[in-house]
Amino acid sequence: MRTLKVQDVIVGSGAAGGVLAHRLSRAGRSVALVEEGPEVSKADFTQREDQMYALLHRDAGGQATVDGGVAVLQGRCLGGSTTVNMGDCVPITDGVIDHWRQHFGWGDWGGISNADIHAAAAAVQADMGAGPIPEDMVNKANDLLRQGAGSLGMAGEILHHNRVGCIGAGYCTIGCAYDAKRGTLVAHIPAAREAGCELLCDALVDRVILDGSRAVGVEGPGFRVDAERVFLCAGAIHTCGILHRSGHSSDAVGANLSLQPQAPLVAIFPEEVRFFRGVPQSYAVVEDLTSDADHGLGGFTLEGVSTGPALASSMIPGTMAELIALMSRYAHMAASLCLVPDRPGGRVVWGDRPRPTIKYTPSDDHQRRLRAAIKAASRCYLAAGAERVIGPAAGCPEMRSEADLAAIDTMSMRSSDLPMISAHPQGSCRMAPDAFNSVVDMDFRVRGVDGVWLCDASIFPTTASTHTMVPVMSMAHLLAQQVLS
Amino acid sequence: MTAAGTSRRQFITGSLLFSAAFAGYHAWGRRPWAEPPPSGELPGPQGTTLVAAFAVMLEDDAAAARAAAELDASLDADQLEQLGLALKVLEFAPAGPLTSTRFSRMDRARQTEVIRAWEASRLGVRRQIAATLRQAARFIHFSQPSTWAAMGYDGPWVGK
Ligand SMILES: Cc1cc2nc3c(=O)[nH]c(=O)nc-3n(C[C@H](O)[C@H](O)[C@H](O)COP(=O)(O)OP(=O)(O)OC[C@H]3O[C@@H](n4cnc5c(N)ncnc54)[C@H](O)[C@@H]3O)c2cc1C
Ligand code: SF4
Repeated sequence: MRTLKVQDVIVGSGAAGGVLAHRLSRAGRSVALVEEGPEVSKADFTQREDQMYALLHRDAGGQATVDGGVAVLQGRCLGGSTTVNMGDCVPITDGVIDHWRQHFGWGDWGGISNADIHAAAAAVQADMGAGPIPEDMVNKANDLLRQGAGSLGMAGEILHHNRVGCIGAGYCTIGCAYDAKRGTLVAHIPAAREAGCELLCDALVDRVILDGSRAVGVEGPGFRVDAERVFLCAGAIHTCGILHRSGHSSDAVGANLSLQPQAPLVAIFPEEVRFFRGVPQSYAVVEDLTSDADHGLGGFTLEGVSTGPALASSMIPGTMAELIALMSRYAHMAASLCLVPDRPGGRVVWGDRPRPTIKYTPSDDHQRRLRAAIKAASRCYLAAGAERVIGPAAGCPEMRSEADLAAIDTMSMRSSDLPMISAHPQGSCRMAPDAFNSVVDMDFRVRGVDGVWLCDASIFPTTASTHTMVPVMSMAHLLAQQVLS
Repeated sequence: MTAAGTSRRQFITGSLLFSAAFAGYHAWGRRPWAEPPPSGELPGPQGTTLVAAFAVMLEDDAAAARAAAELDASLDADQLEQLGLALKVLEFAPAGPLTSTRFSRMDRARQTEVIRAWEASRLGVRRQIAATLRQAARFIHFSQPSTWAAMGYDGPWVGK
């Protein structure tokens, strides 16, 4: 049994845990960072899908909602989801923050202003060397989306990212073998270790150890860490599991989950596109994205994306002969994700099994916006010269002209027919002053127990941004400031 | 640690698959997860069903056997339990509870009809099982370098 005694133990090394470990250990506190997944570095990243999904992703990329409708992607390795994400940096908008202040009781949040939250976002982006993606790094697939949107008069923008020294290999979601993408694996954890942070990998935290109502550490198979303070940063699905196994019985744990599901759409062009090379996601159509104090984030956005051949093949229905014919045009494909911010209506339920049940049903409004998003993306590709757009749902025919887009209005939205992806699960342990509907108070403390702070994607009352890494990191930065003051 | 040293868990999970289908089903009496479940392997009969289903998905017996073996070797006990349960449903009730012929004993044409029917079924459980098996088979198959040239994919850059 490995035992450690520190001032602060942090569970999970992703966006929140990595930043917290960095801030607390560099401030001179003794810190242990405990990570369920393996310790990895660029030398491990073979750029092979079969090896890397297994090594880096939760359940090899197969975690999903109970009806199989939405694949819920999360990193499970050192650096958490920041090791496998697309590197896009999109802070929380004023509209969203004001929405939380007005509708979820965040009020003046103990004096933390919007400017403070933006300053936190700026600080974590500075850690990562974040900035706009340079024009010469927009690959052909993203450029085609931009051309199509431009010719239709739709608004769009080049995204900001956290890459420095990127050579455009295109494997960001299975680990950057060049340390160009600066998630916590690169930007925070090495500096935290230099400052003395102890790292425990392959260490699944089973539960928080309690002495009465006070937390005194965490434990898991083969290890125990005694600590004055426990910080839970295991992400929006698995932090709920730790609370469940620690005997936290509030109904609010696991409730109000948002997934922000994204529907992938593939188009085939007459010329070679090679969407699998270059920065996978550099341009977004934001024509219909809305953000305001009354509603939070709404509308939709369309973003270029790429995937390796195995994942692409696995998502295409039909016979093997049809699949082979289609995949012979793999180098001619461009793809986008139709990202539709949702309302917090899902639930994570942990029982006796080692995996949770993730319940989630898209609302009618979500489905309506999803259809609109898929139609807009199809239109962009056709306007950019695509020979056809592959029907995104089983039974939806290929679309070759505007007239064919009517098929989207009637296509099946059944979970098994329309495969969707969530890379942004959030909201399952809400932070709010209302004790009945939240798990965490406005000081990031877990209610009903002393000495446990919670900071990860689960604390957001509604979907925080179209991309959650910087919002989560900003919260961790603010928590560190609070703890250190 | 190295990638080669990792368990090759593939594109499939317990949660992904079958919690909905078997909502009442739990590993009775097991206390909340304290230890990672060990890996195991599917019992022989379910392994046969898996190979037969994969052969329909991949239209290639040798590739199906390889993919099934790889999947089997990569799942942990919890995942195998769930997959095994789904395969039992496919094996013993391929065309409904009153069918007398087991899936693995049907000829390939009939097996293909069954899988197509499951893919389009009104029952969510059937669609889910069929879709997940298809995804797993194809993910494993198309992650093999031998399949890449035909797609115009030039493979990883590392090591080149
Ligand atoms: C494929 C993909 C692409 C994405 N692209 C973007 C993008 O371009 N831009 C963006 O802003 N966001 C993106 N995201 C989302 C973003 O990365 C996440 O929202 C963010 O990292 C969440 O931070 P977190 O700290 O809540 O959890 P994570 O970063 O997921 O970290 C949680 C960590 O906790 C560990 N853990 C879980 N349970 C335990 C336990 N019991 N014991 C010990 N450790 C445990 C996990 O293994 C993991 O390492 C993407 C995500 C994915 C998966
Ligand atoms: S595209 Fe850039 S950041 Fe992504 S894997 Fe390649 S080098 Fe790394």
